Amino acid sequence: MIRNIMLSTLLGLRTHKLRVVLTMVGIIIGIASVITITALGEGVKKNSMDLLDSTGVSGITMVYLPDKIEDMGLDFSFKKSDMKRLLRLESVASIIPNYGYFMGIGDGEVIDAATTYLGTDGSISVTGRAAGAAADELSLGRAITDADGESHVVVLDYMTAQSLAVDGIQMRDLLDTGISIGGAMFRIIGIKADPTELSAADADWTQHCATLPFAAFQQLIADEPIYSLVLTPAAGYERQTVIDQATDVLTQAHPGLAGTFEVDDSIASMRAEMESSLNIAIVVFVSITVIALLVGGIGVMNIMYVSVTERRREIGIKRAIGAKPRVILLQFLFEAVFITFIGGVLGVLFGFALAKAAAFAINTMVPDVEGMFGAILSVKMTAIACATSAGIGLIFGIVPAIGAARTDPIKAIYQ
Amino acid sequence: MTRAEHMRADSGRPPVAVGEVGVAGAVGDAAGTTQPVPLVEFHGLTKEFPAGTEKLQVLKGLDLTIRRGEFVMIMGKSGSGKTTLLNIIGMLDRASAGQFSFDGTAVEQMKETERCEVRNSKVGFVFQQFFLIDSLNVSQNVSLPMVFSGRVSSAEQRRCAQKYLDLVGLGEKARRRVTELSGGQQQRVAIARSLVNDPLLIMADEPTGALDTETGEAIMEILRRLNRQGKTVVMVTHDEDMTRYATRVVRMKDGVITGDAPGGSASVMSAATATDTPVTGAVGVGTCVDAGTYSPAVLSSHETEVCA
Ligand SMILES: Nc1ncnc2c1ncn2[C@@H]1O[C@H](COP(=O)(O)OP(=O)(O)OP(=O)(O)O)[C@@H](O)[C@H]1O
Ligand SMILES: [Mg+2]
Repeated sequence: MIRNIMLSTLLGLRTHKLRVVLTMVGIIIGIASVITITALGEGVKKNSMDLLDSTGVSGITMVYLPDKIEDMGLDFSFKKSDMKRLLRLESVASIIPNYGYFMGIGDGEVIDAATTYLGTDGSISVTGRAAGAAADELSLGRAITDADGESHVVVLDYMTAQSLAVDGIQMRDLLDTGISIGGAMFRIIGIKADPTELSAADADWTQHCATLPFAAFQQLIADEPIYSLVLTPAAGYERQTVIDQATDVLTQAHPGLAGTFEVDDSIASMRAEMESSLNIAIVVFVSITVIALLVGGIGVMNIMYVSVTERRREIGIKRAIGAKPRVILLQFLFEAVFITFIGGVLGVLFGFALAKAAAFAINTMVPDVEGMFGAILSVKMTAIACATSAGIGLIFGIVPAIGAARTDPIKAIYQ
Repeated sequence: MTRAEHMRADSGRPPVAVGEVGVAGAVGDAAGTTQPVPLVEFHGLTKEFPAGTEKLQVLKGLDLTIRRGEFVMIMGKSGSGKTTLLNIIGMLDRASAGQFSFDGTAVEQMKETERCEVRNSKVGFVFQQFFLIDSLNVSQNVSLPMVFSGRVSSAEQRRCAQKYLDLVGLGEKARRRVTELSGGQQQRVAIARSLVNDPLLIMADEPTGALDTETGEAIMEILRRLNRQGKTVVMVTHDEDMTRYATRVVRMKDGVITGDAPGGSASVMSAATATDTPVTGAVGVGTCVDAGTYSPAVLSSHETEVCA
């Protein structure tokens, strides 16, 4: 019987196509705007989170914090033994020590080292060439290869070379001369290309610092203080478990220190901050569209009243030939829910298409966003949107439907 | 369960075996006589409508008994209360006072849903203005009572609608929109609709009122045929000429019954009841559930008989 009621409702709607479509428009706009905003919001959120994650947020950065603020600058360094102890923990998969400053996991490290060249003191940024890494663009000399082992050779960056080639010294004259880096002598074997003349893709950060063979770089930084350790949790271990265990291990390994070991979660908190501000934006937009949907719902109610009034005789006839009030109620309720549900589905499709288009437009037209914008339609969001729109039909359809069910058959047919 | 059993179960009597269908409607008192149970019986039936601060009494204490197989014509001037009476008998409206029983059940105690079920399964309505639903096609209009009874599959509904459309001579028009049909055709659709649930009683309020004489006669022929096959018909009309179709003519004036006499077809009626002809669904029209008993030939033979 329900199927029959639905069927006859649909047949009835057929005769009022335009009105049905107009009623749907309110719902479509409401749902489409929610979907557009949330799909865009989710997209931006995911892209920015991915970006943050790629810069090392998944690792746990342990640092030492002295109790007294004035001890802050005091030299503290993690030891190689700390790393060995931590690695014995089952919860720790790997550890990367941070010397000096840090360009991010996988990119390698850079330190600032003191230099002396022909009696002039200076400072350069130095990195090590990871085995098998692609060579930088050169302007002179040769690149470092695996064969260089731990030999003391260096390829200078263009800027450093420029600063050394003064007082009549040509750049090519630098080749095969010695430079003191961090107290050890290195032979200059090559000079990198001018990054300003390279394409953006080629001019990455390694182009801006001097490169040593990996082993030689390791020797150079062996005496450098380790400011922080980045732990990667082993599979199946909670972040907090790793933090707790590592803190215990480090505290035991460094007895009598007037300070504590803490997690440097500046990236994590940045992530949380970003996430919450994006969430706030989404909530604000969603609240606005909820109001829009309420307006749409009132439109549905209005149309349902019109529909009930207009079909009073039809209701009367149906009641006369034996339709129970419940059947009439279901018929109008189904009609309202059908209209709003279809409106919701169309709204989801329309809204997602709009979000896709907007993301594409922003990414291509606004400089510097570099694909930050995207549109993500989650199953959850789709379900919520469809359920909400059907719910609107139910809520705003129920009063007119009850009115229809209460119709007095005689008055309705002989109106 | 057969339809006959349904009806008896509905009316609160113990179910009767299928083999006893022959005495359906004649299930009498414990003594086992075959005195038919009155289909409709009322005493002191009163109906008032609020008119401003006063009350307008439209029906003033009517007594009437309608037996199975009768073709009752209710006549009277405009405003005498015919439609009001018909609406009460058909359970569309409630009486203000008086006793009223339908098919052996007291109506006053019935809840609205029960009244709906009775209207759906035991009463067929035919109105002056046809009252078809324009957004549905002919076949869907005819199927509607089956939709609301909820007992028949949609394939069965279509088949059954077709059967009754054939019966009223509109088998070809099943897929048409009702608005494309003439008045006479629409009224025949309405009659088909009133028949699909195989009711005990057909209520017709001026069924020919909106039609020309010739078309009206055709409608009357259909009603007479149905009556001869056992349907009880109660019809309201203004047209004195129509009384030849009736077995009984009830006259009303200002809410009172002023006359109750046999009609032009009374002899046919008495012949039928005298031989205890089964009067529920066993002859000709049959039911959709017991489709086996239906034979279009029965109707066409009637048709030739009538035309001859
Ligand atoms: N719902 C109502 N409220 C008030 N008065 C009513 C109502 N229905 C009918 N009446 C009055 O009851 C009286 C009888 O009406 P009814 O329709 O039964 O007459 P009728 O015999 O069918 O007349 P007609 O031949 O014109 O159809 C009329 O005076 C009418 O005005
Ligand atoms: Mg009338």
